[in-house]
Amino acid sequence: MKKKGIVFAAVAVVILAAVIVCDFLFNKTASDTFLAMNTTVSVELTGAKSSDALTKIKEEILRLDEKLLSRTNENSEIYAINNGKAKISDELVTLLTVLKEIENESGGAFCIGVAQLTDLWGIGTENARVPDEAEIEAAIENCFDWTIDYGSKTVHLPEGVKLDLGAVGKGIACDYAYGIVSDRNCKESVVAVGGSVLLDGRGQGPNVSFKVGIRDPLGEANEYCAVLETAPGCVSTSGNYERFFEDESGKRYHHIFDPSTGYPADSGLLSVTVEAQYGTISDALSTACFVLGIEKSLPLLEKYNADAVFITEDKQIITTYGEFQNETITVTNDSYTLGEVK
Amino acid sequence: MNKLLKPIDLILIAVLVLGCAGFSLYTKHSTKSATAVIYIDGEIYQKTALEAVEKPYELTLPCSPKATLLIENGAVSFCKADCTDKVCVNTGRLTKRGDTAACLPAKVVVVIENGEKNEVDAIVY
Repeated sequence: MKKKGIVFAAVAVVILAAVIVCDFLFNKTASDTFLAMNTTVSVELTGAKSSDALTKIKEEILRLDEKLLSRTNENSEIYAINNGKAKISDELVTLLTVLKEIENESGGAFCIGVAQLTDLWGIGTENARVPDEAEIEAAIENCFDWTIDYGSKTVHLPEGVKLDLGAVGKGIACDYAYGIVSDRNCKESVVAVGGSVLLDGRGQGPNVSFKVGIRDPLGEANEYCAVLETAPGCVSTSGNYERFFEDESGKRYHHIFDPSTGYPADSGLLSVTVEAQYGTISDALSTACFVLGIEKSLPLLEKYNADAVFITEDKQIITTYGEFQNETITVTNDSYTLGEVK
Repeated sequence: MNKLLKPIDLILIAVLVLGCAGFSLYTKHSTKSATAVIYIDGEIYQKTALEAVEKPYELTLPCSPKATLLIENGAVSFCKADCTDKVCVNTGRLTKRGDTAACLPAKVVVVIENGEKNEVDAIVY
């Protein structure tokens, strides 16, 4: 009898040990916060290979920034394009092809050929100023006319036009992170690259959802005014509060430009949050929708199967979520009211 | 008396179940108090347990441009910075796990580790 008890005890200890080891292996978490792409990147992963995935994500985002997308780093391909013709990698050809398509679909509300316009205004730098009409006119004249030569794998820029992927780089980084967490089968991943976040929960069953706080456009950076509960995907926000300057008369100029006028977009919005399957899409569309305003954004969102939360200047939070979708939005700041797109 | 299960077996089962539950609770809810982790240029410069702060004080960091943190009981914030955009100062106070503030020109990142969990998985801005 005693012997049986000992055997049972041994089995119990083995099972307990197995549970502990399994939990340790499969629920291993890895997280880090670092600076890249001119913003803060924070990564939180759960899964057996989470620490390997974390290392790879960090490497890839830094590489993406330094070698491909940065327009200030002399080793990047965008820098090379902006400073004379250069043969570009297949990787960048693919990215630029997608971006050209979004430029066309958005009717020009999204445009990457605007580095010269950004530099002219200098918002966020010590040289911020309101430029002359003529300067603005010249800066936007040919901004859409950059082309990809698929034969020679080069990009042709019209005189005076330079590329700036600042409005979409963070979303692109989310898509790279998605590839890495998929390969390593991470159970749950939250990768926030500035205002764009990848949410993936492949190991958490079909009904997994995430809570995303949407920044209060009139509050501080860690304050949110609404919580979006959403299925896995990518969520990006563009707002007029991030970088701006005020002229002598106190008029405020923010950093999201309407490429058709060359002035900061004025569509009655404080911010737009877009949710889509890919970060490249959510990031680019959040900028485009901010420029377009609510009504003109709807066909574009539909085209890319994306949803949006608009926060208007009169403090309304307007969503495109229908009542049959899984997503819900909760307003957490009483000074805002909730509305739905008709 | 049940022939299959002796009292000793029941005790063992109870120990096993409690052990698993205890371990699972321990791993998921280990509530260490909020700690501000300060990174300068990617390296950890200092970790400060915010619950242990009795009197608020300012901490000037050895970075360029200069930046100063205000460390309080349960909170940390950038209070002064010589950078041009002041994004770091405008971020406000960090109090909950995962709250982050950064001064890009100075390459400083402050993150709250442990402590009370944020109600949201991420904040988009």
